Amino acid sequence: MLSDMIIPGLGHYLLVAGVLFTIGLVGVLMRKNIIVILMSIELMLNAVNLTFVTFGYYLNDANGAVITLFVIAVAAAEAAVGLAIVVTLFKNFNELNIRFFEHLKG
Amino acid sequence: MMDVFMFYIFSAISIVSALFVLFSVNPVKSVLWLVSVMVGVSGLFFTLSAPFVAMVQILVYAGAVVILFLFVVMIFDVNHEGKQIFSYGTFTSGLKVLFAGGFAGFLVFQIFFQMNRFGYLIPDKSAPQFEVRNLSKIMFTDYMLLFEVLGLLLLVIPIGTVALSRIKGGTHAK
Repeated sequence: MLSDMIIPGLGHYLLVAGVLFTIGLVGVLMRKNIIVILMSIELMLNAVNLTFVTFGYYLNDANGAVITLFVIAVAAAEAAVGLAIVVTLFKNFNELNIRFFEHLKG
Repeated sequence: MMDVFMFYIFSAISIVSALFVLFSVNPVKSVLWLVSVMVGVSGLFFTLSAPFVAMVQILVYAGAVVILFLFVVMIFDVNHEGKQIFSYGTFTSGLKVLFAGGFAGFLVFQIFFQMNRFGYLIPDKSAPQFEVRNLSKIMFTDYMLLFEVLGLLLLVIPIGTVALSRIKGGTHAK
């Protein structure tokens, strides 16, 4: 029984992925800096990738890893566009605080 | 036995570094801790016998995405926002913490109580599923359309990024 708790199995990996996802969620909800919010989104994507690979490993199915590769490509593209938007915002407003943009008046 | 140590070491690295990403005042330090998270998750991929995905993770995330973040952070003045890193507002902050905590509790509840449905799953260690030949066969047959669309996306993204960074002002330009 104790070895079941210690030896890592499906539940352990899912738990680590869940913790990473929750940390990313708190970062998106609570941080003020836009760049750190983008980084938290990357954290959440990583947690989802970990879940995909874990289930692919435990179900003996290579589709999990293939989907992970696609997610990594899309995440790289998303980071590029997000950072371009941040650069444009900073050039126009000289501000990185997310609360500054909450009124959406241009 | 080695596997057990590896899992705990890498998961500790990734979770602790993720906490540092969340709580670092200086965004440059956040970016550098993000590299550590990526390395930890990549090690977890290694323990799941997916070395190719782990290497792609290090190459793409630690090599490209995080360096991009670092450059963007470095062209800004990072010190002008002060020590207050979380957005304020007691009611909304409490609501957010409540929501995130409820979500975490839901995840843990589901993982522990669904385990008896998935606990019988035993990985087949004799036949490596995640070797490159297997992955590429799936990627170029089952997911051919997705692969092409991804190529189109990677064409559109640089054009869009350059167009975005050349915007002057907009409708409410100062």
